[in-house]
Amino acid sequence: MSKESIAGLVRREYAAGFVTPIESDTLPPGLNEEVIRTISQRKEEPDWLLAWRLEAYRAWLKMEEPHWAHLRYEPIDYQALSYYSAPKSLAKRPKSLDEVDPELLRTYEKLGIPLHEQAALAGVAVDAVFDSVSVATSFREKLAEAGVIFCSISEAVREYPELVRRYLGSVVPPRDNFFAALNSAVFSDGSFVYVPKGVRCPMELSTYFRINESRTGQFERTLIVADEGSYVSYLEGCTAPMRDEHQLHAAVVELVALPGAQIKYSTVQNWYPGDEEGRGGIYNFVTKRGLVHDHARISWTQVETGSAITWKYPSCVLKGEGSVGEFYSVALTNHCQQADTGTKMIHLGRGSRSTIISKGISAGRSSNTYRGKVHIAATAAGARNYTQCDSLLIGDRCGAHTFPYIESRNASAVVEHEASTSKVSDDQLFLCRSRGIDTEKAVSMIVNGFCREVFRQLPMEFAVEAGKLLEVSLEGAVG
Amino acid sequence: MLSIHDLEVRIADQERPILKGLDLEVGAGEVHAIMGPNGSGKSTLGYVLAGRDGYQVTRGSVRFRGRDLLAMDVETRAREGLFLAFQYPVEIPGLSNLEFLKAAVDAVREYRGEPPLDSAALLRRAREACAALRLDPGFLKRGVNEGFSGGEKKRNEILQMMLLEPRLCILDEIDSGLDIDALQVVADGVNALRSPDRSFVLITHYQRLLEYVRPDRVHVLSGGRIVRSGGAELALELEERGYGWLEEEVA
Amino acid sequence: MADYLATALARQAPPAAPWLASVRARGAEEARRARLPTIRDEAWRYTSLRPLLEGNYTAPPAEAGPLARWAEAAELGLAAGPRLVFVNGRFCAALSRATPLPEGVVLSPLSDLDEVAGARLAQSLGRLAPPGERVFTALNQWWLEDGAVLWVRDGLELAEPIHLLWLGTPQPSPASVAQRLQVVLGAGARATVVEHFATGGAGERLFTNGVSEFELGEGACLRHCRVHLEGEQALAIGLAAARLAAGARLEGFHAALGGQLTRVELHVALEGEGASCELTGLYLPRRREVFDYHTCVEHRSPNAASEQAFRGIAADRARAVFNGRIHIHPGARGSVAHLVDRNILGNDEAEVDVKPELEIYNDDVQCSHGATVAQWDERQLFYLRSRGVPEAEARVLLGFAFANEVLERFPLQELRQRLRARLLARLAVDPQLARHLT
Repeated sequence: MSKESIAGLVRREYAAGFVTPIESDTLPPGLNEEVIRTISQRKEEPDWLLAWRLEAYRAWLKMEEPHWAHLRYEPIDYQALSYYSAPKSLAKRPKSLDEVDPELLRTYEKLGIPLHEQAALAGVAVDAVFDSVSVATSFREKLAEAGVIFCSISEAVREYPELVRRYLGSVVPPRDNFFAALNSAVFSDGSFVYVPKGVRCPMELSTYFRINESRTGQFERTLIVADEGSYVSYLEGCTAPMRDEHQLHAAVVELVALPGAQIKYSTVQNWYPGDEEGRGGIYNFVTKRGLVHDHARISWTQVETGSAITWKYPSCVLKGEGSVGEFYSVALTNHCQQADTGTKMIHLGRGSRSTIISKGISAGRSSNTYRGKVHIAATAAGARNYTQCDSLLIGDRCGAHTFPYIESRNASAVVEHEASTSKVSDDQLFLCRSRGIDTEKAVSMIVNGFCREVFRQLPMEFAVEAGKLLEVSLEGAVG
Repeated sequence: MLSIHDLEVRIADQERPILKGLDLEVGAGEVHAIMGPNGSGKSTLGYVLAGRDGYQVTRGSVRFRGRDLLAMDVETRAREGLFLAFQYPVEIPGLSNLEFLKAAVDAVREYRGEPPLDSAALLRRAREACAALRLDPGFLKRGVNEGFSGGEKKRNEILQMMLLEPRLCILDEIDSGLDIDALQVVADGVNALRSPDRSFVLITHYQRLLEYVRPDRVHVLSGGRIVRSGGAELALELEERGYGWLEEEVA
Repeated sequence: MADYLATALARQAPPAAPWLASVRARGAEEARRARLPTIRDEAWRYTSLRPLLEGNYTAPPAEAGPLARWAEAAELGLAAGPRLVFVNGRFCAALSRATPLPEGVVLSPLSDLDEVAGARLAQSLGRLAPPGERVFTALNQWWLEDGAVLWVRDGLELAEPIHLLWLGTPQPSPASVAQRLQVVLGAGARATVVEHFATGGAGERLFTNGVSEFELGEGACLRHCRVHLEGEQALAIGLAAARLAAGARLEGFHAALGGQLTRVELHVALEGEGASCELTGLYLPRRREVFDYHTCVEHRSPNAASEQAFRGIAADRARAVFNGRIHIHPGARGSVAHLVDRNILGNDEAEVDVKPELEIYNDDVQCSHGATVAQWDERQLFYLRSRGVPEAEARVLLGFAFANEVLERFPLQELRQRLRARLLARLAVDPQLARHLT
């Protein structure tokens, strides 16, 4: 294709890159105990939670930022960030959508996430988080009929303190790692889900995270508890405006699948990736982990196309007998993006099984790393793991890396790992072009095919979105 | 020789039995053919008799030469003289065919109280068997079934049978994947082993094999049970009419 | 930790030729700046150096004792070709065998090099294994007393394999020695080198710290076999670093069949266009042994090819570690690189840790790696048992089959025979179980 058209495509903008003009109540930059007390106070939290945050903060002060990942970035100045920002209009906690600032509602409409129930995607309930606070959660009554609790975590702290207190930090302890400790100290908002025993959640649950304010970090916290024999499918999406500065996003997601429960957690991550020169973009340092009890199942599906830096390893602790963990991932990096992502499957239970399917696509000058660990403990008799990691390179200036760790301590377990790296095949390209399909379209078709196994795991409407997102993210990669 | 009474078998963890009360009597020196449509439980029968893990006998009994076969472990059955020729012989790369044969022949002979064959004697016998089966002697040095063609694998099963001199040979679809020439070679090998104190159970889908190895009795296995038994002519009838009419008749 | 390095550095070096003294001084200088790795270091996360820290390692005494006793144990059965034997790191003429070599070939212990050759060596030693990059390389230089060089002029082909035996004898107290080899093959030259590590008799721990460097000129071909057949008192940490010019080829064959701790690092730089390497290996730790292979193959030029195939069986309470890395540099278009590592974990108390790695900076590549950790194949086990073979013997046969697939690729019939015997002794605690394989 011609140079001009490539240039045209490269200039095409990140569609979610606009800024919402809104008045915000933003804490001045800096982090200390006073800031944590203020956050806790704004959210009217109980004393135990403040104590919990402070303990995490003190632990964090003694920890070092990890640098084992295959990532290069300028040091993060944790004192230059603001740790809390909320639209002023939400200070009074609107009771219904009618009380919400229309500017906020328009933001979500523009992002394709209408919050009014009549306009919303059929069968999807949404919790919309804007900077540090939740704007609204839709379909709550309908979910309540089934006994499902779906609300912001701030609200859950007030309304269901016993549940939150029991499970918060039970999967990702505050001292788990540097970013988890930071999150535990300053987390602002996020979603809380509880599905009671034996209940199949009647709709898809979804949280949409939006960063708007500049020089702020977002530290969301999500906790999902699926009680015995229940089922829930949850999807998160995220975007941010285009800015020249890097912004920090350090989330923690904890999943608890009690015996026989099933949690499907899907992510379409489209944080602002920065421009083609690597200016701006989100630093995404995320800790996601699920605890899987007897005969329960947790499936992580992620489509990672955004962020300047992605550091993320959604994991399963397969504690229960016959527990199942799955990880399906597409990670695409273009321009100067860097991703170091993968999973950990920790097999403790007898007969526990896990599957890992990872598809990495690197283009431009980007770096894309799969990093995964499969650990078979001596207790995990008969455990099984199958891992397949494939990487596709587009252009000769990018990098694709695979670093799996396989640790087996049980003789009756079987672990299989396969990985391959190649480019888009010339034969495939030639076939497409000889049928009249231009190179750019052909590459996007081939890449889509390459990712099919993962897309199949996504709820239908999001699978289509994910495919389109991939196409947009690849633009400018072929020439 | 072999007496199966009311045998019910499930695959471990599954509700539905595969064999549902199967009866079969095989006398010394007899050749029985067990025919049946796919999924009727033919291969399961072979595996259960040989003692493969993963099958659960929930009812019935199997006596082999007057003893309770099901109480024996896999290798004891083999040493007692039961031989299963696998439908899909297993590859063991890195272990030569000859080493494998040595280990098996020694184990079986020791059990029978026979003196061990020295290497030269074993090699001579193995070469003779190779010649009879029209296999290149270099065959003995290759890894067990490693990279063998379908026909070579089947002939390798017969080779083992010749050297182990079993009392009861269960041949699971020994004819599948063989061209006419190979089928002839395999059948010659089987016929050469026929004797008054050795019995055969031929598990097969097609009548073709039975043109080469004439059975004394033919049984039709369907839905986990023997639904009809007869002489060699029954096989011809099946060839002509298929299995459908029998299933209908039974239903 | 500091104690170990302090002791290592405090060691009094015996008098040496000036060129060797300069090599040592450089090693000491680098070692002073270094620290000993711990399991917090990525490259050592699965292998603890604790055995090194439990004891005060000194240089072995000059007197090695009755050599004939151990020489037999160390016999590899290579009937032809020259043999250099080093006892506790020092050349031993009595056990060595000289055979006529063509002109243009230098095969010599370091201790026999004249000043000119020594100076030549001092210049190039460490080029592929810089002492500043690795603490053990630095210590190797500091302790260096002897070692071997093989220099082959352009176009020469050595018909017979060269056998280098690094023999350790029973020690009255913990001792450590340096082992060193340099091979330089000129353009188009060909050679086969067998590095053989063995110990005889019981005694205190002996730590062999080895560095081998292989410089291959254009189109040269080196077959390198490295076998560790040491006893339970042996600790071996070794690096073999190779650099290949265009069209050169390295065939590496590795076996670890003995030793308390055996750590082998293989670093191959495919520097020139169209260079190729094949690394084949086998490791069978048992009891409480730890065998650790770390490979790194770097594709630095276009159209280079590499194949790595390793297999391991960990039994008893042993630990097997394999870290295999493929690194494709920018510009190395047309690279083909594959790695397979398969393991059998024989016991719940044993442990296997595998880390295959791909680091790729070019799109025009075909790369893959695969790794498995599994148990005995149930279908194979059933097949053998259904032929009357007892289960315990069937496991030995299958373990042998699994390892033998790799062993069969080794060159030199005598070497294969010797390794096969050693392999069977490891697999079958009761020798009766291996009687059909001997």
